[in-house]
Amino acid sequence: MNSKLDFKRMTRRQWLATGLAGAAALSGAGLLSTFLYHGRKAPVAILRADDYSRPLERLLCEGLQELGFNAAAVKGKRILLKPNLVEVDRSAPQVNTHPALVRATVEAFRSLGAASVIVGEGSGHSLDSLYVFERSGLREALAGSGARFIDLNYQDPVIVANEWRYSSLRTLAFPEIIKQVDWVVSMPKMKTHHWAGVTLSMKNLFGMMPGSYYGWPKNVLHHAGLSECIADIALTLRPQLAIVDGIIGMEGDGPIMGDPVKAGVIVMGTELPAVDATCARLMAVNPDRVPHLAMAKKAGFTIDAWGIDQVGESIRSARREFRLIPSIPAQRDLRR
Amino acid sequence: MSRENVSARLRQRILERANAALSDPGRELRPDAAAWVLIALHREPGEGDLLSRINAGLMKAQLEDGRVPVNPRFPNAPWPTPLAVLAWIGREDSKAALDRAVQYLLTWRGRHWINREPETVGHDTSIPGWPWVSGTHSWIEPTGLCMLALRGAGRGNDERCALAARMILNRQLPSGGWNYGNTTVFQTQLRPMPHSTGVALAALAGSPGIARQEVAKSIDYLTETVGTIRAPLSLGWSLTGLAAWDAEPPAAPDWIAESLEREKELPEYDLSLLSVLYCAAQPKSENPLLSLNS
Repeated sequence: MNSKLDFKRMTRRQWLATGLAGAAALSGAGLLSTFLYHGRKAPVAILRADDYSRPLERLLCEGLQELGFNAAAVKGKRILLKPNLVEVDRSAPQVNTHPALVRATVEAFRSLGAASVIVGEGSGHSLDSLYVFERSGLREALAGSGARFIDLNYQDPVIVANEWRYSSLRTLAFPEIIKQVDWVVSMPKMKTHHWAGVTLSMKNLFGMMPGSYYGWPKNVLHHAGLSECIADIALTLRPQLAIVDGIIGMEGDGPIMGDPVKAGVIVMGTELPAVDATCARLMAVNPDRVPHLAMAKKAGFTIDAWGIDQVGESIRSARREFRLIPSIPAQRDLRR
Repeated sequence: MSRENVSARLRQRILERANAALSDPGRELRPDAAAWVLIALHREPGEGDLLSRINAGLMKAQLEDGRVPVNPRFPNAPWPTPLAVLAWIGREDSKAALDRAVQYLLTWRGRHWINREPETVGHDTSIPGWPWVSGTHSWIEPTGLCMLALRGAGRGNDERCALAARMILNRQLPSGGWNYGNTTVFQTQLRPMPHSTGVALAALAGSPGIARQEVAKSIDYLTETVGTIRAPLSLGWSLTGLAAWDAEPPAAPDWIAESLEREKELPEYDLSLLSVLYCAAQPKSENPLLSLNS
């Protein structure tokens, strides 16, 4: 079952030039979400991947094809990959997006004719993104790939109105690199989260927000409403693609101190709320119980199974119950 | 590599990069980067014109109330202010700016509250320090930098510094080291980070009444970790923090040289990173981050 993407969809530059700016001219979130979503089903692919040593590049190319991306769609595109690089502990492979998956993604896009692939992170806990880049193993993994790394924490800001206003923030400051790329790809780790319930492709975008303006940790976003900011940022930025590293995920006290869980999947899709809702189901979490997903739904984005064009593995075959901690309020009622 | 050689290489790289960055007329360095260059090269002879130009840009970034925001569009992100203070200490052309910045730091504080749920976050949330961004909680690096700045400016005896030392000690991880400023969350101890630990150790070293024993585990953590670090910010602050407690490893100049070499494989180091490394490459008595506090 293939879904066909609408490749007439705006490029990032067009989106920034007309979408974000133009959003102010639209009368409210309902109209905007109609404009974004068109009522079509959101394609999401679940790919089986038991470990990081298998040829992930080929698998990713298959996934892209399943989603409707072919060489013509990728050719000439300038692509920013945003992995989840949080903290460094090489004995804890469940913390960061695995370097092998990032490298494979670089290779997959290059093989399809991307003009450039950049990897960027604005680490939220560590002031030193280069330290995390190096000690996570990503520097080593990207050596010779031609992909350069950029620290998003110190980029000049692109300031846009926060039209969704789930949070108290009137504007959002994105790093200027978003004006220089055509696609942003969110590449999170599949994890539970002690404040947000789960952290997936939407929450991963906190790392897009420069620490220079939001602090370390991105405390401004916490004070303005964590789940609300997740929704605002993801629905405003609208990356073109999400690739979730669920080969080894994290359960329990995520996003840092939880335990590894072998979920054995990569999840990909073009609508981030739909991707994250699918991941939630794979983790045995009810997406409607995750506040930021519920907000995305309210905004008109699909998180319902009936609105998702599921390809690859079925949820039933790939489902792996992630351990939740009942004493952590954000994880308490996620299964209901 | 000798300390002198690595210092000379760093100095040259800082100057080249600063000149290149300022080659466009009207272009200024980011305030924190400008301050870092001035901190690092404050004793350098023969670079007066360049440093004056950098300083003019830094002074222009200061707002009337004394704060120095990282970007004029973000007046609530004045975290470069302590760096500006360190940059302006001893500069004849910046006395008024220095006074205003010091006054700002003495009144600026993070968001604090009584912690009624210690099982959620373990630290004492009531002890004031300094935040990155106004209206948010106090964290380790900005608090450490403000302590260094105020001590350098002769205000080390202010109550704010004593409270800040208490705040930093309260955030020390039981097993040693600091991260950005959380100890336990949901009763799980978090991991330390080298640059946070380096900043905290540097700040505490000049505080009255702090015994080595109180930070011994953190010195041990950093001593064990620093040999594996080549990222400039973490390496620079780790070495400065250890030097503050007379625990700098003898191989420090070699590691700094390796960090410089590694730049070929990484994005070009920001001027602030090169300057942190430069400070760390100096002997303790000449490290601007430590000698200003003596």
